[in-house]
Amino acid sequence: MQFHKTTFFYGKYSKMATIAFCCIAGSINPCAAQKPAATPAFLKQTFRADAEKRTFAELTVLLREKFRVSIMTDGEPKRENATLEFDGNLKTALDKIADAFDYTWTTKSGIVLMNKRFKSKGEQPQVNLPEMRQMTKEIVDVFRSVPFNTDPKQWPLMLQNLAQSFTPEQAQMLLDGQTLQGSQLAAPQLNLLTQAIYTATFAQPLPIWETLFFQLEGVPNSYLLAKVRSEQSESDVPQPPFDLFYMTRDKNGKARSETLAFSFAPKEEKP
Amino acid sequence: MKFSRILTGQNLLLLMLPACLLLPVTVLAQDKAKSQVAERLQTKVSVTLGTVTLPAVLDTLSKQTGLTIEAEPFLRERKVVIQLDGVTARTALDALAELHDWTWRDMDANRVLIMRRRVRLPAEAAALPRRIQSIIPKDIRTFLEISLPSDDLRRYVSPIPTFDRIDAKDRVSQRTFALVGEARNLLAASLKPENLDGEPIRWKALSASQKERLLTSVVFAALWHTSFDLLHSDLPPYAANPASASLQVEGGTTLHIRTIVNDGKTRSTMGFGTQVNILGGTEVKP
Repeated sequence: MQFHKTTFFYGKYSKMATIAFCCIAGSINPCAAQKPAATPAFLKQTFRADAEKRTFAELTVLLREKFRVSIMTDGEPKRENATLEFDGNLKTALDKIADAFDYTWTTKSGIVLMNKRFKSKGEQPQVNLPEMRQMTKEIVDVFRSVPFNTDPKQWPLMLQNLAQSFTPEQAQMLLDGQTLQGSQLAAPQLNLLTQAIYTATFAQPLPIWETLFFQLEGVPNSYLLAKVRSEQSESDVPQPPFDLFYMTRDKNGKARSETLAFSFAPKEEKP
Repeated sequence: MKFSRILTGQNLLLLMLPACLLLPVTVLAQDKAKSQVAERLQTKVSVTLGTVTLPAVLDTLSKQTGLTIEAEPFLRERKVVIQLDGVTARTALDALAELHDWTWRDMDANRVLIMRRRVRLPAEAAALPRRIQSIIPKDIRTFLEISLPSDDLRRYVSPIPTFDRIDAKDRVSQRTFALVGEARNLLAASLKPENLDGEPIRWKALSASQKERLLTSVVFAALWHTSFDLLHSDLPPYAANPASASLQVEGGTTLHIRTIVNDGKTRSTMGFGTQVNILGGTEVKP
């Protein structure tokens, strides 16, 4: 029998659902009971300094030398320097420095900790190959720890099998517009439903992370390839524009090409 | 001679005696080593380094404490700016761990290891999103606006989206997409004309900034393609607990798997569905 199938996801976090959930969220807001933390004494020290162009590192040295402030910062700021004037206490000075260089700050046992907040254009998290490999491997492992069919096309078939398994009473209930709960299904039916749900939920993101995992594993042997976009050129020297590809291997060891840039022309170096 | 004959009660006692005598000595030695590490962690340290990678910081701390302080190999390219003035090594390690959401442990004789928090594999699918979110480094989580509520609060707040989520979804998506685009454009723009001769440009021939842009491009493309909900919340109720899912048929042929939210005033649904052929003729055996 021919059967036209359409599949779809909907309203996972639709605005209606959001409104309903927010009503519940408002009544159990855990933050409501929290008190603002007291300012540590060392941050109340007065700090005055004339406006001067300083790098972030110079400012941390200044604070250490003048007030013996210990500071730890994740990464280095994109902004090279800032002209800042200080006329207040250490707390307001740190607010100023953090704001200028796009950080948030807090203290831990008297040490000032600064983390990037990523409000400024061009600021980005640290991307190191070993750490990204480890992250990707662990994410893939987590996905693989849950049993589901890794082919995202399978969940509609699973629901079809579930539908075929309905008893006449179950089918009639559903066709009459009534709701059947998962808990009302027989064990094999609930198992089929669970598999369909997990496959629908996880089978789409898993290949993304598997692909990245094999890409990162193969990085040392990977390469960029710039191909001439137009074949019209009669010159022996390849002429722009180019398309840029990143060549790696997939999990089966086959060549994998990812387009990084279309139709670009390299910038001529100024003499 | 049979083995059972050798193992008479008397022989067994003789065999066990050295082990019994050595055990307290071993425990004492371990205790002594632990207290030595604890003592050395009370050393006041001062570090005046600009922007450095983690091993440079740990080398300085190691020299000042007499301990061997290391980080897991995959963390060793992390950059930090650090200025420490007369704080204990223990305080410094705690702060370093807090800065990155890491932890540290004294492993054995005089050795301290800084490590990322271990993420256990989920025992059930419902735990999968939070496990994935925990694996992502703290700065990337901040970039993607992923918040990790504490264990106590998680069961109350995590499945509940707020109005901010709708804006955040667009904002994070645009920011991630822009980062990928910028990394690719800068990478392409950084290639020299003489390199564009149709020959492969090998990874090892790329500069440090080109490598960073390439990695940024592929890693954040994966994050961009991953569902916002998977990275920012728990599973929807129907997926967290399939027994709670509501099955409904609309139009006689469309089977919906959903969670119905009904607060008395508004009714909304979340879920998925497909067209099926409902026969209802097959007997299901329990």
